[in-house]
Amino acid sequence: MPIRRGSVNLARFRLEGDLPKDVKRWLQKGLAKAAFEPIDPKSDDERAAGFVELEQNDKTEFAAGNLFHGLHALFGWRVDRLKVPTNAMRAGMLEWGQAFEQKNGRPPGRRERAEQKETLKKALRAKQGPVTKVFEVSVDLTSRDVFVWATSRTVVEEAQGSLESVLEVKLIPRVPAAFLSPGVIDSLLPTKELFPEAP
Amino acid sequence: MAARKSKVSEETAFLRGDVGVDGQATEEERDEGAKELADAQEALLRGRTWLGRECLTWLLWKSESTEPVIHFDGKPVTVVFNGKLGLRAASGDVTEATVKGVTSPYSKLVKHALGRGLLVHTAKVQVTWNEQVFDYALDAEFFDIRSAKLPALLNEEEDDKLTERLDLTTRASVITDAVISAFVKERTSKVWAAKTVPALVEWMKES
Repeated sequence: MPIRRGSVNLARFRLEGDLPKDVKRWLQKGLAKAAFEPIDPKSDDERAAGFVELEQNDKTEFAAGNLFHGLHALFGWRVDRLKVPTNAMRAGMLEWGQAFEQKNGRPPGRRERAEQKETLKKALRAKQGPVTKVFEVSVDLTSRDVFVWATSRTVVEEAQGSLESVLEVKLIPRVPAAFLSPGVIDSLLPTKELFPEAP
Repeated sequence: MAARKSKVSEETAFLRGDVGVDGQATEEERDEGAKELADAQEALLRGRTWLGRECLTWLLWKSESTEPVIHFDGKPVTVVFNGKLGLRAASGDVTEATVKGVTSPYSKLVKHALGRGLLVHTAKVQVTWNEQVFDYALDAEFFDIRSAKLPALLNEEEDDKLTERLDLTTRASVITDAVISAFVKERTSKVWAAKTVPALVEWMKES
C-alpha cells in the first residue's frame, strides 16, 4: 500500500464548507452512503466502485477503530471490474460453432450465435472473479487536507465526486487558482510577456 | 459490381451527413497542425493551467539563486529543479518539449525556450525544509504530488511509522501550498508587472 511504503503519488484537495461538530460520526455515516457493493455476476454490470475499509477491503462498516488513525481518517476507494476476456469468448464460441456444425450438419445461424454468446458470457462471468483495485484516501481532520492516493485522473475525479456527494462538501483542488477569490481570478489574464500569442 | 458498391457508399455517406447533396464534405477537415494547436490552447485554459505554468516558471527562476524561495514556520524553504522538465506552449511550431539531465532545468536552452513561450508544465523538484528533504514531481494543471520520496522515517513501530509518513506527506503538501501562496501574492500585486515580469524576461534572455 503506497500509504505505508514506497513512493507517494496523490491528488490534493481541501475540504470546504461547514463541517459538523462530530466530524468522525459525519465521516462514518457519509462513507456508508457510498459503500462499495460487489458486482452481481448475474447482472450485466462490468464495473463497481465505492468506499471500503482500508485494511480489509471487503468491509464497509467503517468502525472508528478501523477508520481513524490519530488525526487522520483512512479508507479506500475500491474499483472492481468483471469483464469476460475476448479471447475466452472467441475460443468458447469457436468450439461451440464446430460442435453445432458437426451435430446439425450446418453452421449456426445469426440468432443461434447471439443466444449462445449470451449463455457463454453468463457462464464465464459466473466462473470468473473480478479484478479488484483499492486506492487509498486520507483525510487530515485538523488541516482538512484530503489526499486521493492515485495517479489515474478518472479514479481521482470519481472518488472526489463521490466524497462531495455523500459528505455534502466541496473538495477544492490545491492549484494556484484555488488560492484566489472568484472575483480576482476572473479578472486575471495570462501574462502577455510570458505567453506570446496566447489565446 | 464495383460501381454499385461505390454508389452504396456514397449514399451511406450522405445519410450519415458526412456529405451534402453535391457530394462534397459537409465539414472541412481540420488539418493535423490546427488540431494540435487547438488542443494545446485548450490545455492551457483548462482549469487555468496557464496560472500553474506561470507559477512553476516563476519558481524555476526564483530557485536558480539557491537562496530560500520562502520561509515556512519561520524556517527557510529551498527548492532545486533537479531532473526532467516538461515545457509547453499554446502557440508556435513547438508546443511541447522535454529536457533531461540534473542541471538541465537551468540550462541556456531551457531559458531560450521559456523566452519563446514554452513555459514549465511539469517539473521534478527537491524541496528542503528544516533539514528534511522531499523529492517529488509537480504539474501545472493539478499540482498533484507525484513520485515523491519522503525523508527517512524515525519511528520503528508500524502504526507510528504510518502516522509519521502521513505527517510528512501533509508537510510536503503544505509547503507546496505555501510556495503557491507566495506566488499568488506576488502575481496579484503591483510588483508582478513592475518588477517580476521584466526580471523574468531579462533572465530568459541570458540564453
